[in-house]
Amino acid sequence: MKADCENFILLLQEHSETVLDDAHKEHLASCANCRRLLEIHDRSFARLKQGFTLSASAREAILGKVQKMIAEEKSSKSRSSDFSLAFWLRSWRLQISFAAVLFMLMAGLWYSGKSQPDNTMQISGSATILKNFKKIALENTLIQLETGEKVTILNGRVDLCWQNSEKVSIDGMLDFAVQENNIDAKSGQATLTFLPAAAGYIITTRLMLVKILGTTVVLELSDNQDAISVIKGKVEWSLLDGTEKREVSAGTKMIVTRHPEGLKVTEDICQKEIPESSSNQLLEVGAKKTGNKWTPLEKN
Amino acid sequence: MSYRNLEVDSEFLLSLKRQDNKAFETLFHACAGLVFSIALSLLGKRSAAEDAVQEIFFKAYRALPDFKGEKLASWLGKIAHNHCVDLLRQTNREVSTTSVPVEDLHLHQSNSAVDELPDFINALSETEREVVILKKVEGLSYKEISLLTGKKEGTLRNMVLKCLQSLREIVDES
Repeated sequence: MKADCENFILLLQEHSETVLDDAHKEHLASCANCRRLLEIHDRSFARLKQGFTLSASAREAILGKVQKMIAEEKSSKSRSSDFSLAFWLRSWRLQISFAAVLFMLMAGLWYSGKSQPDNTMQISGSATILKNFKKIALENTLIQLETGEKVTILNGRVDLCWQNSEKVSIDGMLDFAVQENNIDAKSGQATLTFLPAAAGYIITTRLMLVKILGTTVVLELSDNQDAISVIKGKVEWSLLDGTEKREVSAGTKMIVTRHPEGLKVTEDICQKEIPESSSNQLLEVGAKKTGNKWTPLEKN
Repeated sequence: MSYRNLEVDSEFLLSLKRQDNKAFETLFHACAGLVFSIALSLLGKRSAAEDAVQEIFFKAYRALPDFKGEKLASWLGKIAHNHCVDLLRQTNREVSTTSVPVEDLHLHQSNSAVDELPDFINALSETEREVVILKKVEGLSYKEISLLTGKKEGTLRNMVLKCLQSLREIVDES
């Protein structure tokens, strides 16, 4: 085979549609074999193209069958999921019913617990208190308190609980009422030690508002003066009308005095230990209330 | 419509991945010819090829949600090629269990000769026939055929050359 004939075959090998350049045209003009090869090549592959054509009707028929297969698969999938659901429901109906009843009971209990907030407040400790003008000796017994109920600690130490959890201990004499997350202190002198769980609780006096941030404080409330000494931790202190507000750390005493011209705020230092004179002494000796004033009782 | 005219934009691809019927019909009409050529060249019988086209498009429909965004025709061509090769393997396994006299075995020749096809094509193996058809009938480049069949371009060129040499022999004999 001549080199030109080999080149011609390579041309046919490379292209699906034969495009002849001048060199190949010149070769074809002089080579009968390659002319004949091109003729047979073109005719054969033209015939092949016809043979490999998918008629429009066959095409539509195939598409129809594919679409039918798809539809059948979709419906069998939904049938099998229906069947499996029905099967499971049938075989597990007793268990499912039991679980449903259990779930409803649990949900009911949960809902009743959630819908009625636990507002219970209790007082306990070792102290003598006045509750609704009735003298009660607490000997570690737990007594229920109503919201806003007035309590007077005559002597000793009490623990106040909110939602069955102890939040604050009070040593000393104090006239107060308990509210939700709030001690409304009227008068008296006492040391209040708040547990960490009481962070955010509030003490309200006639002149000031104290937000607890994990603290032991001493309250000294008299006719025209309210004072708070921060012994441990810190509080967010403010005047009741909100005109003054600051964070007060341990060792600081805030005194608010009522004057004819208005309220006077004095900041003083205090010991970081509970003063003997405040609650401990009072705890030992008790106190009596005359009008709005508390006075320590003499021993015996 | 041919797969070469198929406009593949992101919206069309998304519709296909969602197995949208309209988009699937468009894909079918664009690529049915190519898939049929692959099936007929490998399987050798029109009826078998038509059945295969049906199964290939059903397979493709199921695989559409996993389509990763390569060329649609190549993806479909690969499914077609693999499906038909699997069918051929099954057929050959069945054939191998029957006893055939040695003189009836035609080595290097297709087991599935296509009716009404010229001898120079029928003399090729199924794989060679597929390559020649994809090159000369479907007009695919060697690179595209390589992607479908997984064969090297050099091997594909040799297969086409073998077919052309058969044609040359016919010319020389005449």
